[in-house]
Amino acid sequence: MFTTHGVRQRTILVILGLLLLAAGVLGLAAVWWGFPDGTDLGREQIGNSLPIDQQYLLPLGLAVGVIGMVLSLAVLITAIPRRPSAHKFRYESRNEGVSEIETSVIAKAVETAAQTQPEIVDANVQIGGSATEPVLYARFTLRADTPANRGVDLVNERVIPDLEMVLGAPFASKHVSFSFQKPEKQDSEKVVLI
Amino acid sequence: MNRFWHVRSARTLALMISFVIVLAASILLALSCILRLVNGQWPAAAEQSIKTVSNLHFNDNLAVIVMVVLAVLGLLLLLSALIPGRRQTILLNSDDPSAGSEQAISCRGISTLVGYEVERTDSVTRASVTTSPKLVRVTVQTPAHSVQRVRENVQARVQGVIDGLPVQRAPKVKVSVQRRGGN
Repeated sequence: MFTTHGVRQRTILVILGLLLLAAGVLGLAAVWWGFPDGTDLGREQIGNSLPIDQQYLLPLGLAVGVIGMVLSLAVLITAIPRRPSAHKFRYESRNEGVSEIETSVIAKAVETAAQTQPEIVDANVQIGGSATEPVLYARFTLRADTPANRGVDLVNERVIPDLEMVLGAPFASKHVSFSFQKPEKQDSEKVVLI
Repeated sequence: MNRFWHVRSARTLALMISFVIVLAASILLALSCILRLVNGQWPAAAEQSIKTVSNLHFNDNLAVIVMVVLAVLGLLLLLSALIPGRRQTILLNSDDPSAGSEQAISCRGISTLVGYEVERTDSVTRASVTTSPKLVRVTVQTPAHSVQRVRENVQARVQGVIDGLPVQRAPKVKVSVQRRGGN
């Protein structure tokens, strides 16, 4: 259960793509059609246009290299798919004082409880948000040989309400995905007619 | 409500490859500059590169090729960023964004479900299923002479499975049958 920041990734790719495209197209356009002032760039040496013999080449190169390293590392690190982070919910009440619950503990208990149901083969649950506005991220794998409706209803009518009862608050948002798994034992009544 | 499951595919691989290349180039540039500062001369490879670039003319083949490669790479990155990726899930009837409830079924899960049903069909020896939000494509192998009957059986069973799913928009079903084995 991993998430990526699609919009950010696409925006970065657009910027990089535009930079490369602009560099390539402007270079080609300048070589083939020249500049408006009539300079024949095509015959120019590239070295004349670059600060190769200048004193500031070294600090400039170092700065560009370091900035490039920092930027690309930042992009690479933020591009790694992540799991929704587990939280510690804090409850306060006048009568019972303060208590804290690790949401990962509840999530693990829900996974174990869900797997005891005959319709559910596997469950993967994460709880985010806050104690008053919890958020559910869950994936349930249902048996392929039971009706899909039954598994979906079981999750919506029993598993999630039970979880909300344990947390003491309804989920502010629920993100649930269903999948299926074949039973290990295949049907032996099949006939192959030739 | 921001969706978690029913999202278009990100462009993580393209981004990773691009920025690994940028990182490698930046490290080489910074390292060359540091070595120049420490030793007082450019490393041999860097010196060779500087010499080659300095003596190059804008209309030399190498320079033109580099510009074309840059433009093509830029266009590819731009297209990969702008073309929307395919979703890998189908929304269920119980999905209700206004109530903060996202409910989806994975296309891979539907493939498993359909594959299980198809493999149980008489005369089918092998089946492969690929599912997208719009289409379930089923390919089966059979040794039977009556390919048409096998196709109809498989089509009916798969349609039954899809109709039984509580999805908002059911994908279409396309079955193709290959005759393999038999007499």
